[in-house]
Amino acid sequence: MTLQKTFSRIKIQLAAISLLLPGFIISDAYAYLDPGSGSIVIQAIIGALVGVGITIKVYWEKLKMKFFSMKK
Amino acid sequence: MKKTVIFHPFLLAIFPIIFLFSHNVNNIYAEEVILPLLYAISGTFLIWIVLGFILKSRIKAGFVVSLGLIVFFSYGHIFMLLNTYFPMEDIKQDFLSYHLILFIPVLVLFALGSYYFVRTKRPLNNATKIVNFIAASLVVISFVGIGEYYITESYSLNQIQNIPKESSVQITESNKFPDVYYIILDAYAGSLSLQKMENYDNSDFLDFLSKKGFHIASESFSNYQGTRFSIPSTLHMNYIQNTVDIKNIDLTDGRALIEVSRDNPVFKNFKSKGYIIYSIESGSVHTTNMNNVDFRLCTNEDTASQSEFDSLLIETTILNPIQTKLFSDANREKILCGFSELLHMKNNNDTPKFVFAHIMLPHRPYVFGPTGEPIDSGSLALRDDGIQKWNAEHYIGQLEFANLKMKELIEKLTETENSSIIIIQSDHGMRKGGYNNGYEFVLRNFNNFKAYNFPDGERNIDFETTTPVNSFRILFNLLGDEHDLLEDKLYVVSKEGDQFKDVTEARKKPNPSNLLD
Repeated sequence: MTLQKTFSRIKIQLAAISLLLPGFIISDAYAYLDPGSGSIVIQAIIGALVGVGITIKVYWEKLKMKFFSMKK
Repeated sequence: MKKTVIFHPFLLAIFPIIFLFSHNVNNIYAEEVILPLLYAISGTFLIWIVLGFILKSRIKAGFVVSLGLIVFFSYGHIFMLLNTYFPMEDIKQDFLSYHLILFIPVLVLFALGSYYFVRTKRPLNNATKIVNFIAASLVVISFVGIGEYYITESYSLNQIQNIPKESSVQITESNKFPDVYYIILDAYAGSLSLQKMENYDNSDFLDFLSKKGFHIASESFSNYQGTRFSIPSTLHMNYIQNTVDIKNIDLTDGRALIEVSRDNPVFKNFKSKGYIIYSIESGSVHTTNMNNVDFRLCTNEDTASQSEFDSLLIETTILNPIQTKLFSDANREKILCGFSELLHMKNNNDTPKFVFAHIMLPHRPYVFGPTGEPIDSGSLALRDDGIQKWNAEHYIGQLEFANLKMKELIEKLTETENSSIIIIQSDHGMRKGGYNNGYEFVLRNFNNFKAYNFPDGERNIDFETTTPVNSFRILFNLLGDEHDLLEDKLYVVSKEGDQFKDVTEARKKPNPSNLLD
């Protein structure tokens, strides 16, 4: 019973994450295997957002300098 | 200076495979993914090394390879999305033009991108770092999806593992039992729906069967509208949501249903009666690698066929337009293998045999015309939401080919095996699209085909008028068991697989008040 409760709790937490990241949602349980073309686009968008974040981080110093020099 | 580590080509090589696995994790096994992953990693490594040598820069080579991988693995997805939003009116006419519209810009973008990476004088170290992160995030997201499944579904799968396995089968004396052939023609519609929905008269085949001593159920219905519930329920001789042994199993989990199919009481019962069990496989996961089987025939390995996962993976790549050219022959070979094995089944005088044959006809993919001539319908997908929509001409063509092969088979079986039990029963109806409700929905999804030949041509009204959930109950009763018959019910299963709606009445009364809500 405790094990089931633990699984339920994990399931709820993961379901919440799934809502934030639609790529996690398992495909239609009735259908045959599904290519998930829509989901892969969403994952690609997430990847692109990660890319923007990392780019800002990598070039932060340069951006900061550029921003301040423009202000002056 | 810190050395730049280049791992994005490898991550982008495995991501599409991991993604497909993650997206379908409840329907496929991890083993199926290993080989594609190895091919992807080793192919990427080889191309990267060679290109690095040519360009004299592994960083540049890494970018060209990654760009190539993105193009290679995304082409099919883009094509399918294009067809979803701007569906082809006629596959025969539009297939090539759709691919040209997509292929030329993709090729130009790849050429321009590659040219930039080859010619640029900029250091690409930071860009490598950024792309490494992007690729890693994509892979991690997919792995979380897989982890979620393994954590949450392990309880359900453990329940299945607790079901007694073949060791519990007690073999008894057997030589009085007849051979039993159980042939599933996947998605073979009954006459009612063929006539009403497609205005197709199948009486030529039915007359042939009658002349050979078969009885045909004139109004046969399956219990469920799809293979994934229909076959396990038939083989458990019970409605899947009511089956006592598996009541704790999560029925939304496709893999749980596959396990339920594999470990079924029908095979165990035949085994306990001393039968030799032959399983002729269609490649469908629902009837592959069944337990208690003595001889597996027409396996994917035997026929060099693609698994459903391999086929889907190739469909999502740039090989999409030529997939049918490359792999249709293997699909045809697999179907023909099933008929060939049935035709050449050996007679064991001392030991009875149970032959379980699942044949993917007239179900998609459409690879045969009416006389067995090869056709190319543009897709090898099993699902009906791909570019290969339900196609009456192709469906009827494959149905007629199934009739042709079945005639040949029945001629042979009735010539030499007149004491055998032969059951031809499809797992569901023609399944012509969607979830819109009512009598027609029930007719096209549930009206299946059922014909049988019992020893001495005996007619069995119970067998004729009941649904597949009772088929093996009646059959085992003929072999001396005592099974009560269940009330015949038809259930529509929700898309999520967790709700079962009783639509039994809808098969009888085609009037508007009977529409499902």
